[in-house]
Amino acid sequence: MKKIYSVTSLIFLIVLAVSPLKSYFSEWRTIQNNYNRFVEKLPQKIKPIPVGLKQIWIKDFNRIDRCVTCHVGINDNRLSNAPQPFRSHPKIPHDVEKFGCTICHEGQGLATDYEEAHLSTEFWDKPLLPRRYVQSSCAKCHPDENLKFTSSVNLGRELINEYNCVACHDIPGFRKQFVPSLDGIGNKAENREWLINWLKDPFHSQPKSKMPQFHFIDEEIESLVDFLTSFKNFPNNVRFESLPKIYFEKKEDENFIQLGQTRFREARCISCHSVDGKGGHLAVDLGKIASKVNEGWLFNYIKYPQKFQPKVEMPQYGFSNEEIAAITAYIKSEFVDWEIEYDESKKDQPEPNFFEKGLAVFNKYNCAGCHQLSAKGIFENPGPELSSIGSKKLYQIDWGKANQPQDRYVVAGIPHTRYDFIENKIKSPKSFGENTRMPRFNFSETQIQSITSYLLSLNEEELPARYQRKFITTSTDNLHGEIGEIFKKYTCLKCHSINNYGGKIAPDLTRIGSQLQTEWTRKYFKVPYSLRPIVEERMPNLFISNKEIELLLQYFNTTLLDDGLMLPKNLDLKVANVHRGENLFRELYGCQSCHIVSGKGGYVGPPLDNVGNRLKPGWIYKWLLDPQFYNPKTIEPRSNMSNKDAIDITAFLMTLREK
Amino acid sequence: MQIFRKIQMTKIWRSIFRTDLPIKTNLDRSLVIFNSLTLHIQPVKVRERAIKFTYTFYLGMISFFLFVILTVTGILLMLYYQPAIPHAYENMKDLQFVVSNGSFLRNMHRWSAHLMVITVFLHMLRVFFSGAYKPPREFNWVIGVLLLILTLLLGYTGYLLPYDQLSYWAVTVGANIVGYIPLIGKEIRFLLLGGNQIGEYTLIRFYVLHCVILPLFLTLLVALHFWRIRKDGGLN
Repeated sequence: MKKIYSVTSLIFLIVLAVSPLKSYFSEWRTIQNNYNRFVEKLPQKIKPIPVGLKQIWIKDFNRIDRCVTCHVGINDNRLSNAPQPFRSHPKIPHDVEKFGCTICHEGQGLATDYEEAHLSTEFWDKPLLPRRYVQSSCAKCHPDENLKFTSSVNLGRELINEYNCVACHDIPGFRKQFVPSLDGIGNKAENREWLINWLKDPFHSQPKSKMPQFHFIDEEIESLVDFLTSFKNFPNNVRFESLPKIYFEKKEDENFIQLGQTRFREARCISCHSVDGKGGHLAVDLGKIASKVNEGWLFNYIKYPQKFQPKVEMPQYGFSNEEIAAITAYIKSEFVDWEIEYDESKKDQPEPNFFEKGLAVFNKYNCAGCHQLSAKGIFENPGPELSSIGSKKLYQIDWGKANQPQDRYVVAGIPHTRYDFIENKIKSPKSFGENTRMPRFNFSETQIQSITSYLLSLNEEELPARYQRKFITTSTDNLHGEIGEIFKKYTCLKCHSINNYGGKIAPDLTRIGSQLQTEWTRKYFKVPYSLRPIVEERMPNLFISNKEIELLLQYFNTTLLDDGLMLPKNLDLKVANVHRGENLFRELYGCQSCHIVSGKGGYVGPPLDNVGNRLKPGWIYKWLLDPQFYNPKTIEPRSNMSNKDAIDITAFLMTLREK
Repeated sequence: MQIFRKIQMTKIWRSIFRTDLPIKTNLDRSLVIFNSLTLHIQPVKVRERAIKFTYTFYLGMISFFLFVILTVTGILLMLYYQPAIPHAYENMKDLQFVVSNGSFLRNMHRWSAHLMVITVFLHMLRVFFSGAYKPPREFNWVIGVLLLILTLLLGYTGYLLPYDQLSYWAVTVGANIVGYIPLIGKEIRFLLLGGNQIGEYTLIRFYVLHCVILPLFLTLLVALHFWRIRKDGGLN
């Protein structure tokens, strides 16, 4: 008995000793000792650290990060080339001591061994974010900001907006985008086959189509097409205007087609539209448009875009009927899908209950989320809301068949992390089960990563209000009356903006009256051109009528002004030294390295010949003093010019006029 | 020896230890047992065959010592534990990564708890097969059953405290089972969870049950259990 007692006591004592020994030989202790040995060898004098646990406690975030126990040199710039885990952190706008690590990088801050801290383990499902997703954490506090470090998140935000993800998913901060209405599609479509092919694979005729591929089964497509083509009335019951006689007389006449082509070029349709992939990316590709829509639609739509497609961003050009007919003839003769196959046998024999079946498909796939269609029985049938997808619990995710590599849709063995889930859900929605309604978009790898990045930032985590940076842009379109009509007709605000409302493609118009000279603007409306030849998007020739031009100029010169852009009263261009200005321009500031003047200079900035005709002196003066003040994105360097230099250069530039 | 004698004769010593010295007779010896709080639980007389190892396998005593270990480690664990969300889980992480011997402490508590359930069961089996529940010991058998239930409840309430996925769903399942009791099930479930679903209030309820109420009852019943063993004639 005594023997048993003594042996068990001994075993117990040994077991008791194991625990402190384990703690003494722990991983982090070895690493800290290695660090001390490492810094000893360095030429710079870096103090060794006392061995012991280190942590950063951020009370506001309720986080304790012990990463610095091993990443000891994180704040020491002298260790920027040291091997990990001793390397210092690359330069960032935030102080590591004040923000900790896991608020940006995720991972298990509480842990003190490698696996637990970095990887996904049994008791921790938020592993370290891979490098490509770290910036998603920036957007947790800067949700609406286009930070220069977060290119991926910014792109993701744009894509979510552009591809209208909010049609099906609730994502805070986005508005639904314009999508063509389906009313009247029966009167618009050239033929059934095109619609069938489109629904099967939109990327065939529009590789950059925003409409995704739904993986319909053939039966569903048949009923959907029958259903859709039964809608022959346009919105607001507008009707086609019949094509002018001249069209039918001359539609195969080469000169007539030539006229259409000329107008098509002059109006710079390819600023927005592409043709077989070449051209702008703002509107649909026109390469195969003639196989999609009929001539009646083409003619009427070019004539009154917003009448047949309310809220569409296509401007209404000031063409004559003959010109439009010519353009229609040109498009009909040129932009045809020669590969399309017509199956004559199936035509005009819809199933008896095609309407109910089609409606069911329409509702099942939530077509109404994007497209407007005036029919009874249509409802929105949205997908899951994504407002906190970034903190979705792993056990709430249905991984479905994603673990069975033999399936045809499945990317073998998707690791169970949030970002892998989102990434793969966008890439191949069916990899988590056949029954999903989520369609496939034609995204590139970068685009998928950007969207994932943004979605990861949609976090449930409550961060203190003082860390949150929210930009509220409340300004709206406040253009009314005749000017409002003109702006609407030519959809100016698709590309330009006024008071932060509108597109970002073309220059902001908020102070355009203080910026441009009236005479120049008048000419520009007649023959627009690109100031910078290297920029792709160009102002199209909208064929605006003279009356409308005068109204716009009047509006620019009375309302779109900025009093801060007046030349200061004590400065006068007449007494300024033009020669000194020229010398400063050419010698001291070397402006010609970017700007062309009299045939010499760089291509980065706009050419400055004739700038005296174009810009108002007040603008030039202010711009020279602080280029980023009115356009924060411009790359023109701020040279801390004196007022005297600025006025002299302004005077010089004003002499550069058309002779 | 002389000094020790002197101390034994002082008033203070005498006020604490009542036994008259020197001990000479068997009556004196039994008085030592009677007058001591810690020893009076022992029978005055024990026959050697009654304490044979193969008769009891010490299962009751092992259970009791495991309970002592659980109390000691439990009190130490209480020093590092906050019954709040999300601190509860973070405290587990602290025990694992930062507190010296924290993992050891927690594992001791956990394994002792598992062992205690096993030994209590075995103890019950032993009593059953040796017929030790028969009169006059039927009341002590009932106390034993109550002790088993308390042991299981202690295990169940302790399960929630780390507040991880395992605990959350285990308690969800348990609470739902309680909810199926006819008539009063829903009310008991509400009482247990401190609400309609698991949350901070459930955590604090389970914490108080686990650390105060259940151990208190267990201690009282253990005392009664031991006392009845003696009163019912000791080991037979």
